[in-house]
Amino acid sequence: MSILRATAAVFAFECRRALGWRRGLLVLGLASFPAVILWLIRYEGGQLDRPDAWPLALFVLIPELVCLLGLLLWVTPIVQTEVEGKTWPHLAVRPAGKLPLLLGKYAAGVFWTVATAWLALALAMWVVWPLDDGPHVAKVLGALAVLSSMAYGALFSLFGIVFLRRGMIFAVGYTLVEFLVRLIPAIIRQLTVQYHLQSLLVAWMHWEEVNRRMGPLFGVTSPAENIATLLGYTLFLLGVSAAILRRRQLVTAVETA
Amino acid sequence: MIAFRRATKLYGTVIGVNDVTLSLPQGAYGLIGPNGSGKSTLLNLMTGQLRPTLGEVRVFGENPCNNPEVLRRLGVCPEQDSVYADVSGLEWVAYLLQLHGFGRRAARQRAADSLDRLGMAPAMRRRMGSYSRGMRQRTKLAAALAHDPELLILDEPLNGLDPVGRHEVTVQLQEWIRRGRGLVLASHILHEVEAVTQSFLLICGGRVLASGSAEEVHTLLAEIPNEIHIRTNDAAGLARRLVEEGAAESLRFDGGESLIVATRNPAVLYARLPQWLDGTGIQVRELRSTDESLHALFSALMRIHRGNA
Repeated sequence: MSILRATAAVFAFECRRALGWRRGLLVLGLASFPAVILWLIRYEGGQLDRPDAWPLALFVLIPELVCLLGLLLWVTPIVQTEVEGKTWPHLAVRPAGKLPLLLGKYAAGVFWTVATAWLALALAMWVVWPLDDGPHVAKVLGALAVLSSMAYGALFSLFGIVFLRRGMIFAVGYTLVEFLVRLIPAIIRQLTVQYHLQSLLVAWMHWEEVNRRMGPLFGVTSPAENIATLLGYTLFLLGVSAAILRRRQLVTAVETA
Repeated sequence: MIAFRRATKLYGTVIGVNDVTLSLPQGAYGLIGPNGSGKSTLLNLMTGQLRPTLGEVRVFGENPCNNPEVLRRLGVCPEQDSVYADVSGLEWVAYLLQLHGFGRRAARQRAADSLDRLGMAPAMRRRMGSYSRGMRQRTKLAAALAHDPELLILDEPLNGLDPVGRHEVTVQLQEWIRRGRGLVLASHILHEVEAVTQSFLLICGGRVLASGSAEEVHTLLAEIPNEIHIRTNDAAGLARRLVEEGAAESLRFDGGESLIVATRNPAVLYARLPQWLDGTGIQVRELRSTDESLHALFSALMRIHRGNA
């Protein structure tokens, strides 16, 4: 019970700290760039002929790109900022210090990322409106943004804890590798987060026929299986992060004899 | 209260703490050592932030690593001066109390009381980025004290405080000890610790070199030859005179006019030197002890430890 209460305290504290013009500018910048790109495509001569092209572009820009960038900024350095800011020793000597810190900061990072993604979605939808079955597209992409933030957030927090100072580099590297692995038509691609997000996109947008024609380019597993896998990833990765954080000896100044 | 059994902490191949065995019953202890002596490593082992590479550490009879029951009973003030610049002292201390298991309202109340006790009431709603170093130090102390721990572990707690602040904090710590609470206070300044407690642990080179009361440490020092630097018009004549009186363990010339005398009885030498030189024409122009600093104390203890003294 005290872990949950402390996690809520960390979440509230981090959210309060984030309320400032710097975070506001970042959120606005991240949220507006998909809209700007789509505006450039739509009004500067570019054409997207297929009916599924706009939702696909929105998917790539928002649940994938915006969420990944938000998580890189707000989840990957959750422990690094405390260690480099030398506040870690104050937090780690508290009985409910390490685990609630991880979970609370993860939750706050995911919260801000989802909020940014939803704002980005609203702005982008405004640019591409009118869109066939627009409200449904918005609901699907909004839900995918949540799942994407949760799963990638857990993965990036693990990178941040394992590699500490180079967490962001490894997170970006992993994302690129995952993009390539996702294209391999083998079972290995089912291990990637993208595979499950894209499978959900195909299922919820009813693109099964299009997908079949394309190879299938995207996965064909059932939505329930995809959601369970993403939630399973999230819990597993957070569990691994918590176990590593518990074992790691992080001191901000090593004094040696 | 605290027990180390052959505890060694290695950072790769570098030694942080070297084969420390000690047992500290309930009480107040000053951990004294020069910068880089291993004090912070020893404190990090006590608070469970580090695990010993060899040996074991027990606090209240238990391993402190990832042990909420032990951490609940500790109040820790780390040396690091960093705090969040964008939150107020009250918010910060209340936040730390919430991580100690207190509810939001109780945490805020306790935080306000603790900050008030340390004279931070007027500034506690201000952003910590605007605090002076002394104010940040008081805020850290307030955070360590706010949950009323049984054992307080403080790493250089008086750093950055002005003389009035030092006095106030010292009085607070004396009161803390009077209430029968445990204290481990690390510092590299002897008189800071002496003002709070008379039980010392002297650490250098990652080893606990000596422990005991101030008196015991001074007795130990009395057995070590003290070096006295004397500048005179006749160094050779002075050296001859000191040998005749048996006042020197060893003598060393330092240039034409200076003599370095090692003696086990510096007080006798200071008292009788005028008498010994009376009528000899030897003038003493300067006389000073080269062993005044804490550094010399630790060098001397290291020599004892290595069997060189």
